[in-house]
Amino acid sequence: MKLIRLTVENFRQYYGKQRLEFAKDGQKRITIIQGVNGVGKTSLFTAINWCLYAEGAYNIGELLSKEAISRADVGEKVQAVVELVFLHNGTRYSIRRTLQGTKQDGGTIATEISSDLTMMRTRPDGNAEPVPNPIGTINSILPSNVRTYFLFDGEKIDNFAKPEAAKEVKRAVFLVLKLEVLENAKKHLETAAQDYRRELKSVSSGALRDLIERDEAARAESDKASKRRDELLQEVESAKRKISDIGQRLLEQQNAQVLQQQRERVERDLKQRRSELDAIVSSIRDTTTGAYAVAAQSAITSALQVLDEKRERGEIPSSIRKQFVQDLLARMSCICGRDFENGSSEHKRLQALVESSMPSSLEDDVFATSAALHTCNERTEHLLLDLDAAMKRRTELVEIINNLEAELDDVGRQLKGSPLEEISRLEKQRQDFLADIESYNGEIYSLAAQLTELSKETTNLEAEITQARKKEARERLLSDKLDLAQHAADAIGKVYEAFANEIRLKIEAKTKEIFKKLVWKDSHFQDVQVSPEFNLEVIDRWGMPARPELSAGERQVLSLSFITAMSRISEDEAPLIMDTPFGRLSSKPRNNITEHLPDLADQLVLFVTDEELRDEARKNLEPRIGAEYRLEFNTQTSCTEIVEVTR
Amino acid sequence: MFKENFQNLFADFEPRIQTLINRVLKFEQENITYERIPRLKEQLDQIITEVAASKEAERARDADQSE
Repeated sequence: MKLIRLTVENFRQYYGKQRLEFAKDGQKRITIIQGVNGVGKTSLFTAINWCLYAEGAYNIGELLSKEAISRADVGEKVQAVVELVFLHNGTRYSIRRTLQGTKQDGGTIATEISSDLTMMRTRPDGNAEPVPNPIGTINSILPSNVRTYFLFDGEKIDNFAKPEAAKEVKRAVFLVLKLEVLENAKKHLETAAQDYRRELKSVSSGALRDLIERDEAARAESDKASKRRDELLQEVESAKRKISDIGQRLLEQQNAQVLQQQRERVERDLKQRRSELDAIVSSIRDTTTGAYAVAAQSAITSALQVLDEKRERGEIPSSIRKQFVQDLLARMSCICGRDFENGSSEHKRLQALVESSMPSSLEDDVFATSAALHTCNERTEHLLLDLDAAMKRRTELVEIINNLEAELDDVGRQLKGSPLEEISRLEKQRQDFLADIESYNGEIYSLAAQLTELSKETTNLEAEITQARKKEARERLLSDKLDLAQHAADAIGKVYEAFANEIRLKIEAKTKEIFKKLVWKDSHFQDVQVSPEFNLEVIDRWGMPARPELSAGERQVLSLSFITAMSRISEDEAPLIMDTPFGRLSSKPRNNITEHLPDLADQLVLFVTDEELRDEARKNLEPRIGAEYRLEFNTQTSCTEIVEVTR
Repeated sequence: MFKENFQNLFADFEPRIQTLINRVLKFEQENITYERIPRLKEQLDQIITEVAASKEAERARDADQSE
């Protein structure tokens, strides 16, 4: 990260829009922002923090320019804006953070809840585009939690050199050198691997292999049965052909001809009768499916009887419709054409009929029910008659078939018992073939049943395999994910310790190198150590730990050495921005630091008082200063103006 | 150099592991300021699934070629 420009508008004591450009030249890399105490150095320092991380200011009173608020009308919006432009890895970024408020009666300001952040980057074609994840991008460039090691108050940086600072030193190393990132990655990958392992255990069953094996076995068995059935069907066909040949040969034998002809006739007859018997059996089956009507017949008869009795008693209407009687009464005329008078006996009888009748809808229902019951009864009677006839015919046919079969047996016996050997042999062969066919057919039937079952089984297995395949794809992906997560976590674990140790030793060497340059009593201190427990220690010329005896200035130098060492080793291209860096230093260490400081960072921004930077210290930095600003306080407005110092 | 070292640390591991580690480290770096990363599980699972899916695609390609 290399800072290019900072723009502030209505931010704290900076009224209106003000801007400063940072020095970024390799040789002239220092920007000096100079001002007396209270003029607004820390406000500018805060502006950078607030723009990047929304931190450093906690209420609106601190952020919005009081001058801007006072000049606004009631109800008018006032906006504080900080814009920071910087380069990172060759890409130019611009971050703009704004906070808006509306002026209220009495001069107070009502602000919007949060500040608004936009981040743009310049594409290679020169056009700017918004950065979709600004906070994540800023954290990738200079994480919020390491910013204090790059943007710091020079008077408060001796923390690392205090005796109890091991935890802070370790944390700094972890953050700046990204060891924390490694540690978190390892921890989170291990948790993910654990989750995958648990999930895999719950879904994995090896069921697919079992199912495939079962499917293969069923299909093999089905193939075998199918082949056997085909063989048997061929055998049957062959046996039938041979029987037909034998029949032909028997016809050619004079002594067997009559019997063979009789057999063929009986066989034709038998075939016809059997076909008829099949049809009859089928018709009986159909008829008996309507047998419930037979079972209901007695109930139907009883119901009709009850209806008839009620009709006779006049409880339900006779078959004369009420409307018909009413029409006769309206015409005052009998059905035979004779007229009658009101009050006559005919009139009274017809009146009685109308009165005893029921409502027409019920009347309709009664008629319809009676008709349906009659129809049902008639049909049942027909059905019983048909069934009876079919049963009789079936019995007849069975008897006929038995007789025909007996006749065939007799023919066979006669032929087999023929004194002529050829005839007897042919008949015996024929009977053997017939027995074979019967046996084959039995086996074919059994195989067909087996094939049906196997077909059902393979259909079911196919469905189960489809399901199991889906499950297995998930299992395989889970297994891959587990493998990846665990291996990645192991890989990080494997290199972590060695890497952390290597980093510690590098920081130790670099801190020592820088400390020896910066500290004025360099001959008094022979070594700087960072222990495996991350204690930062200084060893004096006698080989004794000297940290407890360090002066405040020396502690500041040690901390600065440590921070710049981390910055050098991390090689994160980040600027060092120091607020009041030399405030606590006397001239000798200050001169020493200013001599070497420019080489410790790629870009240096120093917020200094006029007292901090003078004489030799100023002379040391002078050749490296690329930009310089003076903060001028306006006593009329209590606002500060950023004034560029011409060099 | 430090960044190269950081990646070089894993140079001996198989490419997919390196890819996954680099992506997870980038993710962790982007979220370093969170004490509890929002939707950590889902986001990490998505990264791992994407890297794993590349293997699945390779497997499918190999199967196609062998056919």
